Amino acid sequence: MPQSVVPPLRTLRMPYDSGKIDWWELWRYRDLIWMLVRRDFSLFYKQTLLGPLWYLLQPVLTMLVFTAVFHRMAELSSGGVPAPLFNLVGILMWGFFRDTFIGVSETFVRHQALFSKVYFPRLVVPLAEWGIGLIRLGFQWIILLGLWLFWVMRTDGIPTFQWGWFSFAVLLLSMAGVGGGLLMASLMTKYRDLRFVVSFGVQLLMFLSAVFYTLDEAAARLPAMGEWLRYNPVAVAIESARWAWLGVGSVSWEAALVAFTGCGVVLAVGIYRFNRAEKDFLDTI
Amino acid sequence: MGGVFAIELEGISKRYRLGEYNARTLWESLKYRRQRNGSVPQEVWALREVSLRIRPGEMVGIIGPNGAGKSTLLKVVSRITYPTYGTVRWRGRIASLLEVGTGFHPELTGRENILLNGTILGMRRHEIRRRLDAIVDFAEVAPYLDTPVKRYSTGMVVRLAFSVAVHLEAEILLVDEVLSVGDAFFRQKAIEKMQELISRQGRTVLFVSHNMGILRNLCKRGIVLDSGRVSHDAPIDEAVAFYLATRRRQLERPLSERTDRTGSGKWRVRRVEILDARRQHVDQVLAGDPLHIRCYIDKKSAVNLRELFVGIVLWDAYHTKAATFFSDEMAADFSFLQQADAFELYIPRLNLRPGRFGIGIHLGEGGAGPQMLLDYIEEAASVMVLPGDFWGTGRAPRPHGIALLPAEFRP
Repeated sequence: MPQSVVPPLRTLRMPYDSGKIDWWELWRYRDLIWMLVRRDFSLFYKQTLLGPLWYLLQPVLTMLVFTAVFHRMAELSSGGVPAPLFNLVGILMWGFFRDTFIGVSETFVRHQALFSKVYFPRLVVPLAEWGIGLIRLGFQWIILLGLWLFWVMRTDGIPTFQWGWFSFAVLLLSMAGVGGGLLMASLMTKYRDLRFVVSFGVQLLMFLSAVFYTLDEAAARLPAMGEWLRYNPVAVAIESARWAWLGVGSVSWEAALVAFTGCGVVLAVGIYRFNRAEKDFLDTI
Repeated sequence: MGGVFAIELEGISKRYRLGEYNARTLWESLKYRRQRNGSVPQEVWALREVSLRIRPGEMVGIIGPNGAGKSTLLKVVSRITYPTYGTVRWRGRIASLLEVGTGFHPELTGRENILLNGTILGMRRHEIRRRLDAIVDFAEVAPYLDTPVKRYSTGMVVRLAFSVAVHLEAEILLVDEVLSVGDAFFRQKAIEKMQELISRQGRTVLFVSHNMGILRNLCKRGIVLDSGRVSHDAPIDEAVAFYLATRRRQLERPLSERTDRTGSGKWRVRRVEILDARRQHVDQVLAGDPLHIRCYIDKKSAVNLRELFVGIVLWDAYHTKAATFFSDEMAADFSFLQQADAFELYIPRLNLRPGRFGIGIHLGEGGAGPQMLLDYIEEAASVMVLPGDFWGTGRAPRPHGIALLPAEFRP
């Protein structure tokens, strides 16, 4: 290393910089994000009997149960498309949100030992969690693609697939999952029982997120509540995804805009709170 | 280039909160909010207004008693923790050898762990790949590179972890005295590797150690920390001399006036007496003889006696724990301290080989739950163990090793 090269000056001023995020540093650690994603899949593969098959088995079984219970037994509408297909879109999208949200929210709880020993930009962990969710979603989408092709070939007059709405759905769930998760992660450093609130709250949220019903039907049967559900970002995302692939559902531009703005705010606040929490959660001894 | 520095600290202060402040439940925090009656968490300032400037290529030893803030200083520089106030400026990549092997996972193979651990420490993947052979060679694990680490011996894991850490290319190196692990042969190799790393041109090193000999050999400059402040900053020989002199003065001061202690101070050890078999004050005792370590306590506020924890440790000259006594293991009953203000540890036979032993005392509260530290003094007193007639043979035991165990040779 030649002596003449002077590395750039870096500065940290506390407490003024307590909310500052070093994006350049995060970029420098991009390999770590990828390594953490790889570790997750590698461990899952090694520690389970069925390995990656689990990723496929889970949504398929859920799809069968949902179809039997909600569509055969309770006779909910699936908007004219086969109920299994209808449910699978909801289940996969919901699963992506749930895993991202819970994974991100447990950042500090699960990595306390690591964080107390070595420095790296802490945002790496939630980003890896999000990456894991995305890849898993892509992998699981294989089943959906199979069913979808089968359906498309046997049915006439199916609306064309809409990339725009599907991308919007994935983006919205990413923002909601990562943003909400970051917010929860920062709160969990103060209140440890929030972990149970999160797992229970997520369970409840599933029933409010149009996973196995359409927002139109919800509004028709429960007008008071159904109108509010239209603004639930997760419901909006799931409806958008179903609209993109199956041509059922209804997403108004207004609801989409409200959900998107809401998620944007949550994400921004989440990143900010996370960065503050990261700087003092280890200070209690 | 007088203005160029590798690290500059300006008015760094670091506050820690004592106790279970963070890990509350929602319900508890609601209760606290309603009451607000004095259950304010206690604070400790680990660093106070520390300002330093370290030039590129300098090798600096950080000296100070336990609790002086040495590790906190390294943690602040490495950004594991953040200062409460103050400015840190630095140039170049910072690598710390504070904790080797962080993030190792037993299910992953050696290769996977090298990549993961390396990226955790801030290396790019291509940099690690380029150094893979060097890392593996140094750790001597080449044949097991694709075996899960759970099948490695402890020694192999330590070697691999250390090897990843030392192959980092960083301009600034933070080294805590980590090398108490691994077999003797590897330890020697590790120390040589560190010396090589440290002495390599242009690298800035902060080195924390209790071993004044190593510090003197490796460093040019010494910074003495005392209760979170820089008390001396000078060429290493001078700094070591200063530290040893203050340490001696510290130890000669009455216990109640000493500041090299940590803990909330609700209870404090005021005086420690060493008594022999006839309860005479002594500062030396024959190997194998009985010994009483009597501790007098200042009680500032009430402590739940059922949850009182007392730990006493005997340190040997190399700062190794020669013997430890923990009241919870021994199921000690301290209810007599309701009236009394002293207790003692009675050792029927001090089975230690000759040498000087420091006596550390730890008072804690909290029973089985999380402990609150009341008072901890690393070296509250010391006792000289003299070669006695342990074997009853008229021949003195040599000062080799630590313990003398009752034994005999038999056919």
